[in-house]
Amino acid sequence: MSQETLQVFIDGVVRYFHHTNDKDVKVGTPYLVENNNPAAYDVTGIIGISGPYRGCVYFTAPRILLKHLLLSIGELDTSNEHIFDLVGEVANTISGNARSRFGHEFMISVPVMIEGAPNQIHLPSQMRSYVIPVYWKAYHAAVVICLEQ
Amino acid sequence: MSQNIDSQHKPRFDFGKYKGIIISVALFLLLDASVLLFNFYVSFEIADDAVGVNLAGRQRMLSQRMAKTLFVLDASRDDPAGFKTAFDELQLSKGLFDETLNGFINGGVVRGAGKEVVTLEPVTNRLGKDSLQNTLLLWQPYKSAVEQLTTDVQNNLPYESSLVAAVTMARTHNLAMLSSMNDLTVSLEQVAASKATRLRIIQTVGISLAIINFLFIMFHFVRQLRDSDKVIEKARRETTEILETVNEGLFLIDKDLILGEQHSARLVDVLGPQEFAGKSFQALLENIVSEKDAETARGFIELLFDPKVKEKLIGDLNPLSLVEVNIAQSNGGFLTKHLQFSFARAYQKDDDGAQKISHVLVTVLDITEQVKLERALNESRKHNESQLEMITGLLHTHPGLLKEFIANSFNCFNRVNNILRQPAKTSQAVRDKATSIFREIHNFKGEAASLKLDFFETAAHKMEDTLALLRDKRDLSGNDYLGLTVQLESLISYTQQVEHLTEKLGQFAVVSSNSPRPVNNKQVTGSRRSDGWEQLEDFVQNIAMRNGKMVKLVASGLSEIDLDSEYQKKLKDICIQLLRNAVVHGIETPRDRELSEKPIVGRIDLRLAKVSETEMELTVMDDGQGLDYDAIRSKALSSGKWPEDEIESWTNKHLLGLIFHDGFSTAAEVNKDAGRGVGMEAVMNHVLAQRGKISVSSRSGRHCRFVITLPIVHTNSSEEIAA
Repeated sequence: MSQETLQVFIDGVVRYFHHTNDKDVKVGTPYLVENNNPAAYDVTGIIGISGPYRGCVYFTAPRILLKHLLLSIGELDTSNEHIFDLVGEVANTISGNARSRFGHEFMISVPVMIEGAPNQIHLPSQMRSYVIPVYWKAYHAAVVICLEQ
Repeated sequence: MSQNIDSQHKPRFDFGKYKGIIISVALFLLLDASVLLFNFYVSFEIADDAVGVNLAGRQRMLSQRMAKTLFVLDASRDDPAGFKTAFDELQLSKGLFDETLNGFINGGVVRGAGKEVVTLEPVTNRLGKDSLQNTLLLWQPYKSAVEQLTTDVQNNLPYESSLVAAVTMARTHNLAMLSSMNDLTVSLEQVAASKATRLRIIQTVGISLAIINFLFIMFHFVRQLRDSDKVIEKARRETTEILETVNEGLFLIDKDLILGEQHSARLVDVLGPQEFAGKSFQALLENIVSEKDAETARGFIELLFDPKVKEKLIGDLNPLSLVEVNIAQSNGGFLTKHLQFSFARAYQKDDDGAQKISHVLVTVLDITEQVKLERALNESRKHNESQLEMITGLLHTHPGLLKEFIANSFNCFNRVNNILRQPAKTSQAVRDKATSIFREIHNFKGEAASLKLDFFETAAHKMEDTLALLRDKRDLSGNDYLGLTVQLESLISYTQQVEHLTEKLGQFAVVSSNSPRPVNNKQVTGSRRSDGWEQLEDFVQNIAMRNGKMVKLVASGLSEIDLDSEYQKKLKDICIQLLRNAVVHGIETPRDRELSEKPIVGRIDLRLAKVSETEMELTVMDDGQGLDYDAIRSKALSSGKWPEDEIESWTNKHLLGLIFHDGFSTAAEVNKDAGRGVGMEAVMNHVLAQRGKISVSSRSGRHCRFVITLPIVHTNSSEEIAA
């Protein structure tokens, strides 16, 4: 998978955080994880990708980050429902960015939100995923990209 | 299916098929109407006959009344009032009788029972006629007598004689007349009765015919309908059977690109369950193929509906002849299928009998398995090719060493990945990662080079390039490492493939080791170790060749000390680094050596010797140009790390210390073998970690010697490494 393709998904997340009041978001050094031991925080929003590359991209974050993020965008209700909506929104921004960059060549599914790590349906166990840490305020979140050609 | 479609869309009404039933129904109505008409006619006749019967009956009564009034007249000669009444009654009776008799004989208008006027037809039946004739014969003298009496009475003439004559007439004729009139009545009644009987018969016949007709219609047409229903049902069943059995997704689309009512069952498997009938083709393609393909397909189908375009000519334009569709799944993923859409025109005859394109038949075939197979075949071919290439690149390496190299590589990749994984929020922390990774990759490159594994060496070199850029980049961020991570991933993948291949080759080696030549374990271990050192010879020759130099390596004592394998690996790394430096920086090119009147082939001595039970000494010495202190000084100046005047004041010894600095190299350009400036630092780090010593001696134009003293760590005392 090319660096440019990966960058599109990273840009998607960064773009989302740039819309919040606290724009100070940092991207950590990307690393690899084996899919049989996927990286995930409390809540995960997954989008399926198909086309020249296929697989999935997910944004995963701890609850505390998401609560803080909700508050920073002026949403005082930090119930689970809103947290899921928020993760969905981040996932949507990622897919929106990917759509505008890749054009119609790629098929991108609507986000699916889950608690914890995605299962094998999304992550073929014999593959590796790229984990791109995202630091926002004092919190860690991550974009995980698992695509095969 | 086409038969069904034809029958569904036949616009004209087929009259011929229904002619029989229409004639039958018309006949049925005609029959009913005629019976009804006849009924009307006969019933009117019967009504007339009833009047006749009625009047005939009155004649009987009138004949009796005339006789009675004559007898009353006879008895009332002395009673003028009674006489008058009886006389009037006689006049009335005689008039009515005569009028009615005439009516019966000649036809005409008579007064009815209720003073109304009725028309009588002349009686035509024989019995009636005879009885009328008889009556007339009797009536004429009787009538004359009565008329005589009437004339006499009206003219106040003596009437006794005429009365007597009339009474006598009454006595003699009355019964005969009554009998004749009775015969008339009977004959008239018979006529009426026979008409009624005829009417009943005709009605019965008519109704019977109507019923037969009805039954005929019933049986004949019901059977016909049932037969045609059977044919339709059979055709429908066949169509259904075909649609349910056929392996392709089949459906029709019309000019507006709307799907028809029917489709094959397979279509649901191919495109997923949904309501197909009446759906637009565009909507069907939406979300499963890209918008561009869907749009092209629409244009293509429109062309198919254009009768001027030859179907065969545009066949190649079909954009969906092999299309990858992605059907969204509820879990957020996609189910990818490879489908083949083919389109064929379906024709129908229009009113003028001309062929017209009515629909386009769409056939959808799921060829996922074929495509997968084809791809697997291609991939396996490619895989085989790359494996062959890989094998060629690996053949020269001893399997044991290769295995060790692969294991070391994975350890190295893990360490690099762990460095990347460590959270680093400050830009210094991010920058430090580049340095740490550089060390790992540089060692890896050295090992790859020593085994002449070009691919790995090149990949590592490229990673070093990336890292060098990162180190020099301002405002370094985590994101900048993305390219490096991608390189790491592809190197891991490649290494996994090599591992896979060596496993296969390992099996082969096991088989070949079963050959008759006896090999004991000790020997295998021993030869493996000596191979490990011997690779250094190859390594040196390799670098020398690449750098256009000629070198002879003289090694000794390397296998004589039993060392821990991990420890030995580190030692080997040091040797690799020092040998590489000796070749690249120390030994001159053959031409330079010739000019300096030295042997063309340079010499490098590599010696490992036990100094005491606990210490050993590694010596690497080359007979090259010695350390170039001027080059070190100018490099130090150009680095800008130190003030110029300070550098000018440095002694050679101080300058020597610089070569162990991070990122310091005197090589003019960066290539696989030199220029990174991390190798000597790694050597120093290792020696310091083991509490060893390094001493360097050099004489310009004559030699350069590195002597490294290290503790001995035996195989079974691995804990000491950590100490």
